[in-house]
Amino acid sequence: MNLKLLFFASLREQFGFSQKEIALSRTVKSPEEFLLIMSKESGGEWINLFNNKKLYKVAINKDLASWRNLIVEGDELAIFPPITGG
Amino acid sequence: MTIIIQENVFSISKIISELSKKDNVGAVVSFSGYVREFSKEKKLKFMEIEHYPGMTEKSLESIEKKARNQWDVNETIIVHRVGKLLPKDIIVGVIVSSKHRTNAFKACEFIIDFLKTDAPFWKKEISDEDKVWVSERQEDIKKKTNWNKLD
Repeated sequence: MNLKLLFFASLREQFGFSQKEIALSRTVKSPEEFLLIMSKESGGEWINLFNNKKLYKVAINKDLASWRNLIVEGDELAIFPPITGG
Repeated sequence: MTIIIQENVFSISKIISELSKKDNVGAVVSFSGYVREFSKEKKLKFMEIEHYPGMTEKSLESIEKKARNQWDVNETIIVHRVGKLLPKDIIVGVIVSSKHRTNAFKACEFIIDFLKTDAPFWKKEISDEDKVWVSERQEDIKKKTNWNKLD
């Protein structure tokens, strides 16, 4: 399964990239499942992110979403800390 | 509806003046937000604002539409700066015109309250001591929740 992943702000700095095309070895149904797979396969920072996901927000195709919303092939997934504009 | 995301400084008074000259405008209400020179007693050197291109515009359009569905407004202009900003710089402007003041007041407050929690911008404060990503304010979440209660 292919996904486009974007990180912003503190997460972009922690992971050292702002966007990446991710090719998963299996299909995942939600951002939560995506993080679970990444934490199992890549470990490191991904484990922290999975465990602390409630501190972060997720957007699917540029709409705010929940960790359990459905994702499909080719979706754009963005993960970021709470918004602080204005 | 006009949404502008830009690095450059802008003049809120110029926007207000231009809006006031349009047809059938009885009221123009504006909110402008600025960079404070102190944050938690640390003197700010500068601020960096990052955003999520595409989602920012999409979320602001959705916020504007929700405001327009509730109040009869003529025009709305939302300007938000990104990049490097100095203390006292303008960050954001929300300008709303309407025939009567109440609609412009309400719509302007609604737009800035939702912009604070739903439009993907992030601020980083750089002082002599450190560089810190700004945390969300409970007050901002409360303000949004209060609007949701009115729905």
